Formats: sequence, C-alpha cells, structure tokens
Amino acid sequence: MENKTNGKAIAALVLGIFGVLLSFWSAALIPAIVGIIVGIVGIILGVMARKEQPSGMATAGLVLSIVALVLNVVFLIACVCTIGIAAAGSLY
Amino acid sequence: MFPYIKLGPLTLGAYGVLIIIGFALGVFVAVMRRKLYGLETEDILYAMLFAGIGIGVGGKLLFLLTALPDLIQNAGEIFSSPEQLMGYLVGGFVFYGGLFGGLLGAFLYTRRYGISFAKFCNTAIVSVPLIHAFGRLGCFCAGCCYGVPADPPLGLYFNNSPVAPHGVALFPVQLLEAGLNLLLFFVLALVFRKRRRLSPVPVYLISYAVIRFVLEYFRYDAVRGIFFGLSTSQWISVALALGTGLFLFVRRRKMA
Repeated sequence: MENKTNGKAIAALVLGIFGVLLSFWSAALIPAIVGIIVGIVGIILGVMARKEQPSGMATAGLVLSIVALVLNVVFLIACVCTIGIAAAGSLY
Repeated sequence: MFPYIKLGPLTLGAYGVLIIIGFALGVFVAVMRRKLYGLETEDILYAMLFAGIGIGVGGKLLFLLTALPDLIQNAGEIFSSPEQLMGYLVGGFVFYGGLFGGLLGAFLYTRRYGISFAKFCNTAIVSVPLIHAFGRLGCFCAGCCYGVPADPPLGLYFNNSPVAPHGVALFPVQLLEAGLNLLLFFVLALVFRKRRRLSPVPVYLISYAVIRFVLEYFRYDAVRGIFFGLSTSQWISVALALGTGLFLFVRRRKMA
C-alpha cells in the first residue's frame, strides 16, 4: 500500500516537471496539448497521493502539475474560439 | 477586443488568464463558505480541482458534439488541414458541458473520499457564476461568442479578434452575460450566506437557465448549433429549468 501511494506521488512529481517543461514549447500546439493532458493526470495522481499518504513529494507533484496546467492553458488558449474555429466558421 | 496580453517577451492568451483568475477567485469563495456545511479546506480544494478538470473536458466534449454535423459534412477538408483540426480540438467550449462536467468531476472526488456531494454543491455553487463572469470577460477580450450586429455606440468592433467578423459592429453580449453572472453571484452569496432550508443549487440552475435562454437571442455565432429554432444552449436551458422545477415540486410533495 505504501509503495502504491509513493508511486502516485512520484508519478505526479514527474508529470508535473514534464508538464512545466512542455509549457516552454506551448507556442507549438502538440506540446501544449500534451502539457495540458500531463497536467490533468498529474493533478489527479497528486490529489490521490495527498489523500492516501500526505508527503512532501505528493504536495510538490500536485503543485507542479497545477502550475503545468495553468502555464499550458494560458500560453495556448489565446482564444476559446481559435483560428481553426474561425477557419471552420468560414464553412458556413 | 484584446485577445492577447503581452508581458515583456511573453504573449499570454487573455481568455486563459481571465479564466484562471476567475477559477482561483471561485475556489477562494468556496473555501470561505466551507464552514457553512462543515467541509474541510483540503476537500474543497481537491474537489474544485476535479471540478475544474471536469469543466474543461465537459465543455470541450459538448462543443464537439454540437460541431459533429459540420465535422461529418466537411471531414475531408477538416482532417486534411492541421490548423482546422487543431482549432476544433483546442478551441470551442460550451458552458453547459462545462457545468455538467464540473459536477461530474466533483461527484467522482466526493464519492471516492466519502464526502457529501450535496454539501459540496451547496458550498461551491455560489462560485460558478463568478467563474463564469470572468470566462465571459475572456470571451469579450477574444471576440468569441459574439452578439448580433448592432449600430454604435451599442455595437462594438472586434477587429483584433481572430474569430469575430471584422468591420461589423456587434452587440457585446459577452459583457452583458458577465454582468448578469456577477449580479447572480452577489445575490446568491448574500442570500445564502447562512444555511437555509432551500438549497442554492436549484436557485442558481433556474436563474441561469432563464438568463441564458434570453441571452441566446442576442448571440450571432452560428457554430453553437441551432435545432428546430432554438440553440443547443436554449434547449438545455429549457430542460434544466423544467427538470429542476419538477425536482423541487416532487421533493416538496414528499416532505409535505
């Protein structure tokens, strides 16, 4: 049980770090989308780790995952209806 | 209007910044209300995180559902253009999808960790119109979810928007909805600052359903889908208002 929980904390930390790094390439769509997904999974794992066995690693993983999600969202989603939707709008 | 915010070398999406600020304020309000229903700060925070994830996923899924006829009809053109495909994947969210997704996310958290979902909803529902108001401000900055053509000074030009038509003055329905959402937030926060017999959840649902149904007549973006004369959100508003009313009626009869 303890190893399982620690595993979630480690995974959350790794995903959080990875997500933050991806945010530096958020101008490119694919890294940003991957960063958002990574941030979401990291948050879920971080919360689960914090609830089951609170630890500094779990907290760090949760915080970094939140930061990763926020950075990727802010840099990527410049508009809730992006240029692609505008292009799709031209189909009407 | 102002789709981007420039901070030195960084270019930030205005919508993203505003929704993050709104969400953070919403979490703050929910945490402030936690003692009304005896919830812990940690549980409010984590449930709100799960709800936030649900909002994003739900809003996106409902948007894709409403855009499905166009995706099918123009599949060849869309899937051969990475820009158009990414536009569908990245942009476009429907509020009601976000609301239901958020409720589902919170439900999954509360169920997993043995917390009352009803108590969480009663605590956090007041935050929803606040978060939504900031989201609509983001829409105003980006120029999406735009209103019907209107002459100045009522109509505004969104010539910097990557979405709204240029050179056409449009009614800023985003600002109107943001204002109404803020008003709804203050009313709910004031009326339900103490526990009452009536839950704030049905009050919010019916109030917003009415607001949204009316505001949809001032919307001009066709991408949201029209079925038998009403938009997707109008149909959902009708179902939500009727369903909530029916629920209250049945509950009242059972308690009598």
